Amino acid sequence: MKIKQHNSLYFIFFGIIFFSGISCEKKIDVDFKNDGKEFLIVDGMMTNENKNQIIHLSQSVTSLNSKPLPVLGADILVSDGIVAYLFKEDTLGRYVSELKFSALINKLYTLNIEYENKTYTAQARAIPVLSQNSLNYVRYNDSLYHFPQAVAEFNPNEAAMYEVNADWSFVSGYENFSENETHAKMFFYILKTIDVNEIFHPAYEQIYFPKGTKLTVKKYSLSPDHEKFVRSLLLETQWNGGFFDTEEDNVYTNLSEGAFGFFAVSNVLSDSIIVQ
Amino acid sequence: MLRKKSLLINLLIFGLFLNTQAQTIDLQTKITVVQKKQTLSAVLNEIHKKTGINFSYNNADIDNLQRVTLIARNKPVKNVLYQLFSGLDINYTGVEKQIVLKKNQYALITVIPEVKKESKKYSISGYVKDSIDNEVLIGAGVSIKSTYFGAVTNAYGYYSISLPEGNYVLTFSYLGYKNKSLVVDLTSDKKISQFLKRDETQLEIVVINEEEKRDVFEKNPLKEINLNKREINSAKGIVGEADVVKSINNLPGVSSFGDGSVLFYVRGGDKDQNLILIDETPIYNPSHLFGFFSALAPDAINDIKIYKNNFPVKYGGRLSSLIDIKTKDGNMNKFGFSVVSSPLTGSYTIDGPIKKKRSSFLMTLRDSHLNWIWRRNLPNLNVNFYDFHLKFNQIINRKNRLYFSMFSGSDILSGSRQSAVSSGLSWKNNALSLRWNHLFSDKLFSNTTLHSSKYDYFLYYSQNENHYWSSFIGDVSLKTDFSYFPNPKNKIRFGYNINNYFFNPGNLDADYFSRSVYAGDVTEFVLYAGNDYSVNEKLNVSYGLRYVSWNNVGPTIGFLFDENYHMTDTNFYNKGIYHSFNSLEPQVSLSYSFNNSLLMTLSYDRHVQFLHLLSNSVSPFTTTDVWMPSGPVVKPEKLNQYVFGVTKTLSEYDVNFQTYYKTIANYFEYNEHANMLLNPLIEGEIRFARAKAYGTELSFSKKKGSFNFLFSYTYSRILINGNKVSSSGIYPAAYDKPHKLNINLFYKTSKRWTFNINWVYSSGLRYSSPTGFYYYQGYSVPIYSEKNNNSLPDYHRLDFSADLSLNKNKNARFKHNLLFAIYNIYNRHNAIAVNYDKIETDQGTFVIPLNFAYENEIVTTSKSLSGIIPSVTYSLKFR
Repeated sequence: MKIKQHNSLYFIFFGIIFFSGISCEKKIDVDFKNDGKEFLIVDGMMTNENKNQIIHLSQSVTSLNSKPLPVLGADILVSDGIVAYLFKEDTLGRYVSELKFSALINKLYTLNIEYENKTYTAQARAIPVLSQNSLNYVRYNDSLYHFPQAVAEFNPNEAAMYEVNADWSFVSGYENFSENETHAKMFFYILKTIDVNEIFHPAYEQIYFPKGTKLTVKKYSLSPDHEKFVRSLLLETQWNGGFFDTEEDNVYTNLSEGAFGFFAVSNVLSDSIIVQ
Repeated sequence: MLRKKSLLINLLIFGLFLNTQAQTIDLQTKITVVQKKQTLSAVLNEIHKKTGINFSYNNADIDNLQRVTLIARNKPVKNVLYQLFSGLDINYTGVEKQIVLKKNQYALITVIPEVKKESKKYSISGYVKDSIDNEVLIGAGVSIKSTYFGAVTNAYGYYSISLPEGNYVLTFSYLGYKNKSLVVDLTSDKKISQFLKRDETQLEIVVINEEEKRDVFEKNPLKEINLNKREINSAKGIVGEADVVKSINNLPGVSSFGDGSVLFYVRGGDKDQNLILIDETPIYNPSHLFGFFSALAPDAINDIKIYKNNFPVKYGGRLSSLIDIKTKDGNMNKFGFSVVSSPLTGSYTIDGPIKKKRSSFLMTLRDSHLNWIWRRNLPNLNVNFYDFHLKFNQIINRKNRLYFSMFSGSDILSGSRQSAVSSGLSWKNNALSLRWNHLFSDKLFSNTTLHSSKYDYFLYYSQNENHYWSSFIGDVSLKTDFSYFPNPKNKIRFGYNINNYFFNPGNLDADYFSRSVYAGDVTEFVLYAGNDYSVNEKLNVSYGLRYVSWNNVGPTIGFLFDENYHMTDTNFYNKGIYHSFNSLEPQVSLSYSFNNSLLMTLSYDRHVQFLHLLSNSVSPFTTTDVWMPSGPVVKPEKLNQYVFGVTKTLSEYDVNFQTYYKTIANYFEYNEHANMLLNPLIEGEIRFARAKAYGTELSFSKKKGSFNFLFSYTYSRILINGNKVSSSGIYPAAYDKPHKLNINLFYKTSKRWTFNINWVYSSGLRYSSPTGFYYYQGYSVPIYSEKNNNSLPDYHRLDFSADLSLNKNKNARFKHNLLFAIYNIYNRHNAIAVNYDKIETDQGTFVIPLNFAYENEIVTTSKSLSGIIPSVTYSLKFR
């Protein structure tokens, strides 16, 4: 069972608010209470794809839109209890496993990061990914298409993440456009939970692509812990900023020692389609 | 005491003096005297110059060199003399064309009507009502001249007072009505009901006389605040409509969320800690359209009383405030109707007798025009709300009276954008009550109420297929409250409540899904007793005690958690009581009257709250409400409150000062990003904290005459010792707004215009401001190090309204008015939230980025709900 009608609720509420012309949103300067603290940030997902797995390490920033500094010189090890996989620094802040490996279902993987005399750890386990659900694009007008669904949908039986990469740089008429104008990377989620500010989410950027666009869709399974992280991330990002926000809090993490981010292990299905 | 009695004697003498000497000294002549810090001798000389009155006194008795200040502009001589001498302990009496001054002397007390101490006592009782529509006047004063005894009418307009045999002058008074006095020869029990006439003109400045001040204990503003019809009508909503909740928000100690919200916080209490009663029945969500309108139609309301501490002992169950609303009874003599049409709503009221002088009815329907307005532009949108009040009352005989009240309110918001499936929200309040007033004797009054209330919330994800998420809370209750007036010094209240509560804490529609979130029913037994004891003319003690037995009743399913909030066990509770709480809630209040105009109150009260609205929302709107009872996991919240206050009455002005300190145990906080919707383990998301709140409230008001005003200032803090990130372990609540200032001006011209200006200022709401950010898969994610470490910009707003009576004849049966209102006159966009997760589009709007193929330039934005809103409202009344 899926609940797909969240956009309608958004439409109802914002129809009332904005049509009545009484609400307003404006750009402001905010004095963020910067305390100067910096944290290690981990962005890593092991998958069942047999490849050199990748982990990104960076530092937190103290102001909005600042470039994060990469973390250099860390020692990273991922172990499944039997085999330990060493990661080496590839480019700035990007660490790649020395060996190709695929993360297995239900196996517990432990991340170990040694950095500046501190040891950061995390554990994660993958669950199976269910067969690819349809992720439907629809016609927006005579020449453009888009994904009409909300960022997240409720399904009490499954939690998953879709990563959609759209490329229309080769489509006739778009060859001379910049990369930013011909590529899109989107995330959609299926979650077992539902939230009020998910239902009444703020307005989203609209992404349109032409006929002939190549869509690469990857579906990742989300373990309960990973789902908890994703829900927490969405509460602080894509669901935040409407009229039904909940209390702010730090996004959940499975990392120790005050690090942020998430170490995930996931099962993945891939598919590619051309928009017809 | 001597001083007070002497003052009474002064008045008696002065009364005689007025009658006998009026031909020799004209005391009605209006004079202006402005003397600041002058000798008494100089001031008397000034009065002499302006009136020709000579003053005679003995220098050994009267210190004529003492410095005094007298400011009286265009006032009758009698008022000027009273103003001067009442503060100086000087008696004065008229002899020929002169006034003789004497120092107060105890011997003069013999002038007081002699009270035979051993004589038999008799009661005087009855009702006080409006002379036009027969509505009972709640809180009307009944004072006994030359004594410190008095009474105030209860919620049914009834009063009773016992006095020794003798002759008395009774004065009936009520703000906005003309006083009425009568002489009573009390040789047997008397039933005296009075009809007071409205003071339509309100042009004459009403001088507060001794009789009005006599009920200083009963109408103590430090214990209860009474909102009259003018105050209710002067608080406007966003489209100029009188708004009940907004009128409460103007009071010191009450903090509102802001524009477009019906949420309010009293003395640091959370939004679910306010008990709102309509005709004794609780209302769980007093809002329409998410909170843009309150669900209580002003046309149906007779009286509102607000308590912030020491609730009447018969009430409890909430920690912060009691809003006791009584609806109108309906006219027992003749039919009438009224229509009020504002830009967004229409309100229609009809009332009249069913059987003349025996029974009456009142019906009010308020409906929104929103569908009609928006149909053309948003045809797929269905937005509507209504509320409906119905009341019957029947006088069976002198000792018995029945009331039936019904309230029903509903909101529906639904629509569809591109698919045929429509989604929506709906909520409904329904309340019924049947009340029976019974007089066992003139000294023993009872009210028995049988009531039921239910609040339903629906979130439709497919209205076509009737699929929805819903929650509800309901109750069925029986209670009897007794008021016993054994003698003038004691007013005893006692009674019982039996309440049954039932819940749905949020589940999908039962036709298709099994229930996943559980809460058992509750049976609550309450016993209470209290006394209002006048120790003497200066000291009053109110005390009371409530005993509450709260019992969770199966069958239901419950989950238990360990200290880390991990679920450890599932319990299948059978039919019957499976968990109980017992609590004692004492309260005491000491009031000391230094004189008739200066009163000091010290109070303590303890309350326990067993019903909780589970919400981690920081939204101004009410959504997906889930009420949950205390039980094996959910602890009851407990409050201890200490209040000190002083009130001073200066002629037609009132000054109030109160300071309070309270502690709350088991204050509700929530797990980080708590999952509050469709979560079977929702109880495990609660984190119990400790909180303390303290503050000071000041108000200066003038409620009489053609020009009224209210200045109020509140300083309040609410600090939580809970589970959120904080370097000190203590952090402020999101609604911790330390400063609030309110200025309300009201002016009625001699013609047909009434003007109202309202300015409100408060500190901004608190929020957690990021102390850093990080990037994950392209998302810009905030980092927080201190909970609620920042504040939104200060809130302020100016509203203006002008009411024009379209009738030249004040006695016309058809009366109609036009109200011109401007909400937020200087168009300030008061922020309700700050966000740091959006990008700016080419059109200048702000949206959440969805494309993570490249870096997004995030901007910080603030949202506000309303700018300037002008409106015109037409109202028509026929009587």
